[in-house]
Amino acid sequence: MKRILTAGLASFFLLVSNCDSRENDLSGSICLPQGNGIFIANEGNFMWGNGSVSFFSFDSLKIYNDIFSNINGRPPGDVLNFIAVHDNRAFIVVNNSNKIEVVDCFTFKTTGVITGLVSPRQICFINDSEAYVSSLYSTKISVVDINGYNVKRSIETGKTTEAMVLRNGRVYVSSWAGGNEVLEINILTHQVTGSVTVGREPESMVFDNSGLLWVLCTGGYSGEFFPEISVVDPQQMSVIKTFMFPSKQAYPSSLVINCTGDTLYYIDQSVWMMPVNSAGLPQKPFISASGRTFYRIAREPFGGRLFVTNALDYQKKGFLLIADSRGIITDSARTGIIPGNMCFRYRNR
Amino acid sequence: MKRIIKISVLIQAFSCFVCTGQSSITDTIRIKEVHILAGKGTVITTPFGSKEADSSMIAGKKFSRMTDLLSETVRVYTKRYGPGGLSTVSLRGTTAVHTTVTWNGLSLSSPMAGQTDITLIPVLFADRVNVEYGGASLFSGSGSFGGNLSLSTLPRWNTPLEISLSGLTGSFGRMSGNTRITTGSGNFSYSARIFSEKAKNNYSYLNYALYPEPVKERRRNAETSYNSVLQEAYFRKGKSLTSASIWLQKSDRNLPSSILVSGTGLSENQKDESVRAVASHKITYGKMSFDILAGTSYERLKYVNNIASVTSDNKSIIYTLKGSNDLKISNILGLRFFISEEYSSVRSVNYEGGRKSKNLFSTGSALSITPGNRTAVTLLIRETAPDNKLQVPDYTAGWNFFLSEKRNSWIRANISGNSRIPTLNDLYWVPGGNPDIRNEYCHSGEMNTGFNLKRGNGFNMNGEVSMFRSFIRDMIQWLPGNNGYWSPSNIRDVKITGSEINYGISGRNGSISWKIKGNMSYTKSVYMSGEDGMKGKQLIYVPEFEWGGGAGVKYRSFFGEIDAAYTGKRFTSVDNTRYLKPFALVNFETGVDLIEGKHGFTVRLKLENLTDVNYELVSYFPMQGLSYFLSFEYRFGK
Repeated sequence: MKRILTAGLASFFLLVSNCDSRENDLSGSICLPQGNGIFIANEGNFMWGNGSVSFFSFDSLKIYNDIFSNINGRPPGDVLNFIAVHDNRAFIVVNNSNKIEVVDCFTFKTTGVITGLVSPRQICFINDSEAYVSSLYSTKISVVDINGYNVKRSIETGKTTEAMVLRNGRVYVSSWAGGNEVLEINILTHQVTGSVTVGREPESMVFDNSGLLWVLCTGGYSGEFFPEISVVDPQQMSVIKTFMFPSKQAYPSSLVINCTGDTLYYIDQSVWMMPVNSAGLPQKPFISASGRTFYRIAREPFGGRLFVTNALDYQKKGFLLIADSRGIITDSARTGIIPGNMCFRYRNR
Repeated sequence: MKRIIKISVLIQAFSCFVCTGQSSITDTIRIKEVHILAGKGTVITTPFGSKEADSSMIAGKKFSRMTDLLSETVRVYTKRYGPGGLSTVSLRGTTAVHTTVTWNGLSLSSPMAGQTDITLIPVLFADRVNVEYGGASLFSGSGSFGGNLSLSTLPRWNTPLEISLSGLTGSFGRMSGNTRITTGSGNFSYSARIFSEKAKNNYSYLNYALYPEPVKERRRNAETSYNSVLQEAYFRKGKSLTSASIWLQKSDRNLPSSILVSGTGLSENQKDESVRAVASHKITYGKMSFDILAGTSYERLKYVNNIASVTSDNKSIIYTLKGSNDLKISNILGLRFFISEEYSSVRSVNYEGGRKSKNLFSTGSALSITPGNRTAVTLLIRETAPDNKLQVPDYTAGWNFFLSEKRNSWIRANISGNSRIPTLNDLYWVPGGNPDIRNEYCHSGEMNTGFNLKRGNGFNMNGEVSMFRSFIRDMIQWLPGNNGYWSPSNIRDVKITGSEINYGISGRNGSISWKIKGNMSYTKSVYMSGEDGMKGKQLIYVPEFEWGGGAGVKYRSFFGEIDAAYTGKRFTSVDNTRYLKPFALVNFETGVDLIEGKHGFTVRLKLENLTDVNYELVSYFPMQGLSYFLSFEYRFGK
């Protein structure tokens, strides 16, 4: 009896003394498939630190979830807002962790961390050694050294910033949170050289095949303005056309364009498709929401597939939906929580 | 080697008796454990489960805030963002909004968010801490699906003058001081209490989340300061008792970021100010008694986020008026009528128009039947009318039966139906507030059995087993919406089942006194609705298993005690794929308690988290490791 008691107490103590309350320990290592595919930045909930990265392989049509944690043995951070691939490295912009995690995009092993950022949102590579990083709270754009993994300088914009696109030596930056402008920055001088007023809260931007900048404006987070798509002539920095949404209750987002630059896609509950020469906003959805919570879109650069994320109730793990060029869902896969921005990985391209 | 193992096992065995009902055994102010069926001056029996913190434990924790007391005495789950940070309490598998907190009958729950930050409550400002579970909470008000935490101050009659001066210093820049002055005669009692505390909270922890390799970091932007004053007066004459108390408080807290945030984080700061005043009068005429209570609670919360350029200034005031009338119809039958009015008004930049208010009228009655010495039945019905809209009435029915004529073993059962109206934030917060949100409803049942045996030689043994089951319908949950902001909706049904075991043994042999206490709880709190991956899953931040225990010994003036508490796995995602790992904390306290005539001195040394465990109560917000606190107390009085 004594022996049993002693053994019981000893095992109890071992249990007690080994307790450690770290998050679910993701120590298992995996190998990423080496072919083509798409990375999904699953944002996770703000302050919960449950963001993750998924990879959907185009070869095996399988999804690999939690790859950052599984390979690096730690969580990527809080709110994975953006992911972009450059020079065989993936740059994961972790908004509420004030950092950018940099990993080898084929092994996903960490190669560096860029810190010293304030609420970073998106990254835009301006050459092989530098990138701009926008900020939700700071009125400065950070210029980061993507090889040295540090912040080199900053550009005062006077406004907080969100989406960025590069064209002809200029980066066009939207001032999203409470803003209504698109700024133009010269990448040689790192100076703001122009601006144009667009609709309320420009959230996403793309260039079409004729060099016009299409800016999707949400109308503000509490629906105080009509959402719109503003078409900007970047030479003149002026709005040449506006497509107004019919209701303030609409909340369009995630504007993307196909590889030929002639067809736009965006989310307004459903997924909508709009040729750039259209006279007005589309009347029929391209992919009907049907109770789903579409959150972000990515258009395949070398093919006709559209990748749409479904965030469900923003608490459970979401889905990646793959639609063909006709808008028919052909495949789906379970992702992490709040699957958001995506980027493609191609080998030998 | 064998010897070392044996000694180690013995020490560990000692440490197994973890801490909940664990308390300092130095103080002599000890309220005996009693099971009240019909309290003095009341004709209503309360055959429901409740748990009262040992008064000596309260006295021994006068440097602490309520968070520390509750996590070590009564088995409640506290969710904390760190020492000194925001903390809420939840009972029996429910969430923080389902646990109300009252102080001398006045609600401390915020009318905005519906929960109470118990870090802001110093233990010094309560003489009695009682947790009323399930149906018992309906005597205090509605909406407490988990229960009500009832805090109250008590008069000290016939006390010419008592003074207590204390000071504490400890790890992480914590310094605290408090004073209590009490004076009173046979009919009058007055007390003043002052509490002040400052802490840097700059403890080190292992950041396993932010960098490629774990890095030892020190907590930054976590400084806190608290200053509180309480004054109270009691006057009794014949069969009447009048009391008045006022509590002023000011706190200033920097809010550290999660360990996932690099750099300085968001540099958040929160300042709270509050004034609470309450007056009550009770009078008894023969078989009838009347109680009346009037109070007000003003709170101001100023939040600043420098990096996000957010400044939020919210002010709220609550006016409370309560009355009750107890009538003893016969030796068997007792009746109570009660009525209450609570008006809340909030000024916030986050409400459209800047101001919103809520009026909560409530009335009802309770009936007690006590046929004989061994059994009692109580029925209560309460009608609540928020903003003059009638609701489905709340009810509770309880039964108590003593298994012996000595009334030292019992069996109890009760059922109840309870509702919670949405908070002002649920209704009006901009953006996201939902004016169409409905009430939450809860149906619950509880069974409890226990014993309390006493022997003449100071030996005392008690034990209690409770089982409970609740079903919450239309639970309100805030979820992110399509417009990018969060909004509340009635989307969840939740089923809770659980059981609790408590036991304690104490004894005295000459100049040695000792005690051992322990408890264990199992709570299964699962979603009954929701899409795949969610139904049947445990609610986040509700541990399934918790247990604790403690052992203490006192020899003449010297005392020592060890306690430990185990908290099981807590899921942090609704599909239960992520969780915080279990942890166990071991604390040790020792000291000396000297009395010389009217002068008393106590010196204590407390070591917390002896095994230096890394643990979190909220994901990615580390708690402190091994820490020490040294305190000194001087008392003057009888």
